[in-house]
Amino acid sequence: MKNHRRLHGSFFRLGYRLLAAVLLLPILSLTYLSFVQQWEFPQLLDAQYSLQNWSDAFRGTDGLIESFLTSTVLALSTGFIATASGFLICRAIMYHRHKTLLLSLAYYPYLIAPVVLGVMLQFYFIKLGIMGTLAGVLLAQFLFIFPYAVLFFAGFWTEQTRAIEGQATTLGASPGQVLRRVLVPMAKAWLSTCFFQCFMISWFEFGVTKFVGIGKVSTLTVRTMQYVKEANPHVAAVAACLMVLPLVVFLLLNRRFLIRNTENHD
Amino acid sequence: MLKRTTFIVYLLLTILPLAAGMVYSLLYSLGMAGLLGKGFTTAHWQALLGSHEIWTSLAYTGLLTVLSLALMLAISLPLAYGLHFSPSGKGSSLGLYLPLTVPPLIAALAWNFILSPSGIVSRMAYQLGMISSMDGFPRLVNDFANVSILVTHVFLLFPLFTLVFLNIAKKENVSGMRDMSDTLGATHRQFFRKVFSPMLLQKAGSLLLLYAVFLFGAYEVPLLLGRSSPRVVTLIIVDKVSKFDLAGIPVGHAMAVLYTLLIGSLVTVMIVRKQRQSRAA
Repeated sequence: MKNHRRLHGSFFRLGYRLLAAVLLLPILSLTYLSFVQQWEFPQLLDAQYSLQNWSDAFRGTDGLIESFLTSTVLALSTGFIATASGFLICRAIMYHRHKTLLLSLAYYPYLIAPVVLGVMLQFYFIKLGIMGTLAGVLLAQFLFIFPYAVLFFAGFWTEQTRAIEGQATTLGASPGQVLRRVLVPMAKAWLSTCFFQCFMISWFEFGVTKFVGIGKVSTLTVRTMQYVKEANPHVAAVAACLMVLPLVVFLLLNRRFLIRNTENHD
Repeated sequence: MLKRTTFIVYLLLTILPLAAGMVYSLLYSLGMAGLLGKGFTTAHWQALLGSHEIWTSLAYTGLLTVLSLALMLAISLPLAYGLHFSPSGKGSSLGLYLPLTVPPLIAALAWNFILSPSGIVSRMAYQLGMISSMDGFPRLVNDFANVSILVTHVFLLFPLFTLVFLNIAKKENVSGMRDMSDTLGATHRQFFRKVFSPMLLQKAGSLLLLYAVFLFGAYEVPLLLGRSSPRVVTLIIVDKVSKFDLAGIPVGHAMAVLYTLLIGSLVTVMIVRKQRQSRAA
């Protein structure tokens, strides 16, 4: 019996290690590729190591820094606008008598594939003259990130929050003071998590960014795909690292931000 | 007044763009809008519904979705069980957060580097003397069995679901349940099959459906790792609408309408299910 348990334990430990390797392998392999040059078959670890790909990226010759900044500006703007508007609009929805029905509406634009939403809205984007512009990509991303923010905050605007709000109003606080001094401090953790989630959705987005941006709005995902198509895997690996490594650092600092609002869907 | 304005803004931002997009695509597919619009016709819908490519694509996308979810569950459920009941396992879940920092496009790129004939696994196989050239390595990228797509989907999903299952197991006091089932004489395998897995699947049902919808609309991973035929629905829609063949555009719009209706129905099922669950609770 003891031997059987020991064997069982070893089996599980082996399984965990195998899974840990699977989890690490993609990021490690991309990092490795970004530091090698002319990596030809069947070379494995005996490659020509170099900082050339990274120094080219930082010198700006590949346009990677430009793409990094575009992605950052886009993700920060989308994250900020979606979080702020989602927070306030969700309040009105959750205090409405038809809150379930109203909240359900947010699922539809959120769950349609963004690229298909982009295809269907292409005509309107052309009419508005925002195809191929940063504003156009921002709007296209906002249209499916905003519903996510609304759904996210549904867990915050509870009866308890309403009661606290009512109490502050009874004690003489104006609506502005209730928002600034009561609700925002109360929702600080919710706001920061939602902002980070919205930032990540925008940061990760490729399909609709490519479609609405028509190649002119070159985010890191668009740039990465361009390098893949040009058969330039080493620079693509640098671009991939620029996308992933800041988030990994953030994960080590605070993992709470990475889990989506799964409780809402249980 | 402010309340009313808020609702109008909400509807303007959620339902109006989707509805406007659907109306335009529907009109385009019926020949009533766009460059080729010469008046009402059902020819494009007939072309769509009579096309073998479209039905194959729908079935193929559905199959990829179901297989990805099934494989993910085959890993996540036992892993969550093992981590929940292992004294050392509870603290070792940090690694599970790692794939949450990887965008689908980058995951696809990484698995392409790992699984392609000139990739890492193939080179390792060569170094170990298992193959003599890269031609000897089985095709795992852009392949018939979609190995690389499935691996990428599972890599992106199983950590998230394991964390969700761990969370549910903690909330539902699964440890207490297992003690009770031990007392009643059930084996741990029976507990896993008859109590642990069904309970977690039921609790995470809505989330599973949500991810099924996401997988059905996957774009980047099949774009990089899929075959040229059959292709997933999103790839066909984008290709038809953005290629130079003008005749394909109305069919692409018809396909977009069909896809949106399909997803809309699934979302409605999910919402109704959720409402029933919350009423029962």
